Amino acid sequence: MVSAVLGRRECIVTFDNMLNCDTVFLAPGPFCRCVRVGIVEKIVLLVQDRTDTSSLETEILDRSREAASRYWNSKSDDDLAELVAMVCVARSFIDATAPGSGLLQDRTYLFECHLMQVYAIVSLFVSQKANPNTSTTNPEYHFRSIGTGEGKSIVICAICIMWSLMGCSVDVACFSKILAARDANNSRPWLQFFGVTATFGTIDSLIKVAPQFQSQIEQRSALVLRGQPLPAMIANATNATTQPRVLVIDEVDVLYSEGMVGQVWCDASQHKSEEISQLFLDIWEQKVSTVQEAVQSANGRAVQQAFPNLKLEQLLERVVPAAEEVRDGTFIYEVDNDRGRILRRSNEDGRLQQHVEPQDFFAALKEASSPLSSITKEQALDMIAVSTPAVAKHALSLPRGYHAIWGVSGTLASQFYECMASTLFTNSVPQKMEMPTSFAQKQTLTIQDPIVCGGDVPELEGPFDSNNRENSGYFLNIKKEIEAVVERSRAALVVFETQARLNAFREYIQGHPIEPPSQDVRAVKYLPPTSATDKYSVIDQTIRVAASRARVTLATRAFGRGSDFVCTDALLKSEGGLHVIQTFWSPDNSEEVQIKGRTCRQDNPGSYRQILWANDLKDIQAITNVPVNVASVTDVESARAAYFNARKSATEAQIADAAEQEEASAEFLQNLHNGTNMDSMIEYLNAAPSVGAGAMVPYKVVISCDVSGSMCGANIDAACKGLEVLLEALQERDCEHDEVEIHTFSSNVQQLRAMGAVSDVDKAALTANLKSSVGGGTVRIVYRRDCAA
Amino acid sequence: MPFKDMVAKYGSSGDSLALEMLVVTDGDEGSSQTYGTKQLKTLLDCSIPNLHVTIVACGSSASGQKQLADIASVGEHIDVVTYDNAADNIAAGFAEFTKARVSNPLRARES
Repeated sequence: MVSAVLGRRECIVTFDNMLNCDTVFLAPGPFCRCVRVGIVEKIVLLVQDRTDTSSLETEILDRSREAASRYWNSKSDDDLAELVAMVCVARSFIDATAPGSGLLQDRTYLFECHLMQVYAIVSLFVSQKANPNTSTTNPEYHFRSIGTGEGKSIVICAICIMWSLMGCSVDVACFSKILAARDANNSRPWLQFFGVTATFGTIDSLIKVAPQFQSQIEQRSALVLRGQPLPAMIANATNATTQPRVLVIDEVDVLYSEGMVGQVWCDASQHKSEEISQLFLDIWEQKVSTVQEAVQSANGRAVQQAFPNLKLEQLLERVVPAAEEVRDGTFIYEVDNDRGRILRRSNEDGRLQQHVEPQDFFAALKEASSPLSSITKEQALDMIAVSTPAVAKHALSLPRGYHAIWGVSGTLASQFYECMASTLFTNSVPQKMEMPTSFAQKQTLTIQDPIVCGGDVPELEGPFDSNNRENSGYFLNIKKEIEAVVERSRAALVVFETQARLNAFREYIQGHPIEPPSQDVRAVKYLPPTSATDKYSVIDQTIRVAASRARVTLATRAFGRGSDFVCTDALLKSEGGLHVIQTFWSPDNSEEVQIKGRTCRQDNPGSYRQILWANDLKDIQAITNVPVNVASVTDVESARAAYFNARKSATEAQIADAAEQEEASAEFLQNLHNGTNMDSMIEYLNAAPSVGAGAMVPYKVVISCDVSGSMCGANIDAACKGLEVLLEALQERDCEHDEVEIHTFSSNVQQLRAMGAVSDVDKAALTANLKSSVGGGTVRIVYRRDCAA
Repeated sequence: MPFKDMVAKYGSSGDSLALEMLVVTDGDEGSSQTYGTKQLKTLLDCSIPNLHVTIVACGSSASGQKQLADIASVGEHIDVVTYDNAADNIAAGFAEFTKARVSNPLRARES
C-alpha cells in the first residue's frame, strides 16, 4: 500500500468522487492528474457543481468513523487506507468550503495531504504493531524524520484525528509555547470537523501536575509542617484515564537533546502565616541581625510553635544574607499588582521575570518603603511565604503514562540524538525512519562561506584582525551582510544565540543604521521571546511577512525550529529568496540543519551563511580542546564530536540527578497521599526551603445549579448560602484574574454566558434570581453589569 | 448543553489556569441528561487543561443516588461530595469545595 501511495503522483478529486478517495491512493485510473500551482506541482481537487455539501460531510464522517473502528479491530491495510483517505478528504473538504478560498473561482482545490504526508502517516500506523492499551507497560516508540518545510503539523493533526476516532486520548508535546499555540489554532477546524480534540502543550505543561492537585499538595504539606494529622485526599495527583493515551512529540529530538535531558521542573508549595511575615519584617528592619538572634526572638519562637516541623534555622541561613544583599544591591524590580507578584528584571536580557527567592520578598519591602511605591507595606508582607518543594518532574518522564509514543522531527539524524538515545532507550528502542521529500526537486540552498569576526561593541570585546581592524567586527559584518541582501531586494533572517545578543545588535544598528536608506529597507522586525505568548499575533504576523522583499527579521535560536517563513513573493523568489544568517556556532548539527531549513521551504530558492564571533569559538575550544575551524566541514564535525564527548559525562550525571529528584518527589507524594512516613516527608520538605513572593494561578469557576422543582425550599436556600461562602472566599483571594460563571439547569440547560470578574458578581440579585428560577427558570442577573443592562 | 461551549472556550490551550466546575444537583430526572456519566465523561475526555468537576449532591431519591454513584466512578477528575441530609449537604458541599479548591494561599510557579 505504501508503495502504491508513493507511486501515485497525481489525482483529481471531485466532490462527486470524493468518497471514493481510496482509489486516489490505491488504484490507477482516470481520476489522476498533476497540476502546476505556481512553481510547484501539486495534486489538485477539482470541484464539480455540487450544492448539497452537508450530506457529503455526513458521509465523510460516517465513513471515517467506520474505517477507524474497523482498523482498530483488523489492523488491515485496506481499512487504514480508507481511514487515511477519509481524513485527507475531510481536510480538502474544509479547505474547499472555507469562505474566501481563493481557488473557489477555478473550482479547483489543492488536495491535502500531499504524498509525503500521507506516506508519513501510513508508515507510522503500519509500524505500530499493537493497539495502544491501557494495561501495556512497555509502549511502542515510533519516530519519523520529516524534512523541514514538508508540513509536519498536518501529519501530526491527521494522526491526532485518527487515534481519536479510534477512541484514544492524544496529547501533542512541543518545546515552544508559541508553536504549540499555533498548531492548536491551525488544527482546530480539522479536529472540530470530526468532533474530536487533542491537547497541544509544551513539554513542561504536559508534565506538570494540574493546579488543583498542586493546591492539595500545598495544603497537605502545610499540615505536615504544622505537625497536624492528614485527612483523606480528595483525588490522586495523577492523570489516570480509562482511555489509551497516545503522545505525539513534535521536534522529538529536542526532548532528547543536551539541554532537555537533565531538565527538572520543580513546583513549590507556599505557606503563609502572620508569624513568618513578622519574623521577616524584623529581619528586614534589622531588629534581629543574625540567624541565631532571629531563631531566639519572640517572632522566631512563634514561627517554631506554629510550624514545629519546619527547620527554621536552616531556612534563615538563606534569608538573613538575602536581606543584606537587597539592602545593598542594585536589582531592578517591578510590582505586578494585578497578580500579586514581584518581577525582577533579568541581567541577561532585560526582561521582567518572576522569581521566588528570599531576595524578591525583601525587594517588595524595599519597594514599599519608597514614597513613590505602588505597593503598601501590608501588601509586601502579604507576599511572604515559606516555599517548600512539591513535585519534581524530569523532562524525560513525559513519555511515562502514555501507551504509544510517536515523534516527528526534521532532524532525527542529530548526533546528539543518537548519543542520547543510546543511553535512554534500554528496553524499547524507537523505530526510526526517514521520510522522502515531496520537494527538493533541485538543490536550491546556497551555502556561503562562514565568516569569523572579532568583537566590535563594548559588550562583545574580542580579538580583532589587527591588519583589517575596521572591517573585522562581528556586528559590523552582520550589518554588512544584511545590507548586501536588502540591496538586492531580498529578505534577511538573522538568528542570534540569545535574546541578550539580539538586543545588543538592535542597539548597535540604532547607532549604525542599515544602509541603503530607510525608504528602501522596510522596518527591521524583531521576534519577541518564544515565552511571550501574549505576543502570539505579533509573532505570527512577523513570521508571515519575513520572507518578503527588503525585509529584515531578527530572531533568537528558538525560532530556528518549526517557524514557517513562507515565501509567497514571486519577485523575492526570482531575486534568490530568503537569506538566513546564523550568528553563532551550534554544538548540535541538528540545530544548524533546522536553521538552514527556515529558507528554501518547498523548493523556493534561498541562501545561508554563518557569521561567528571568534570568542564563541574559543569557548568551544576551551571545552573540547579541539581547534574549531568553521571553514572545514570535517573540522566542524570533529569539534562537535569532541564537544559531545566532553559534555557526555556531565549530561549523564545530570540525567541521574534528575531521575533521583523525581524519585524522591514520587515517594514524597505517595507518603503525602497515604499520610505515612512523617519523618521522610519532613526531611523532603526541609531539603531546600526558601522564602519568596509567589504568584496566583487564576481560577475560573463554572457553577451549574439544578433548579428543577425538587430543589424548591430548603435546598435552594442552602445552595444560595453555599454560593455566598464560595464567592466570599474567591473575593478574599483577591486575584484579579479569577472569574466565575453561573448558570442553571433543569430539563434544559441555560446557555453558558461570558465569565465575569468575581468582584463584579451581584450576590444579592443573584441569590434572589436563583430562588425565583426554581421550577425551570433561568438566572438572568449574575453581575452588576446585568443589572445595568 | 454547556460542555461544547466549555471545550470551545478552554480546550486545547495548554494554559496554566485552574478550571473548576461545580454542579449542584439531586441527580434526578432531567439532570441525568445533562450531567450524567456519559456527558461528564465526554467533558473530561476533552482537552480542557486542568479541568476538575465537583458535584455537590443533594436529595435522597434512589434514582438520584444511583446516578451520583455512577458519576463518582467516571474518573479521577470528578469528586462527588455527599452527606446524609439534603439541605445541609449543599452548604457543607460548598464549604468543602471552597476549602479544598479555593481557599489556598499563594502558589509559586517556576518562572
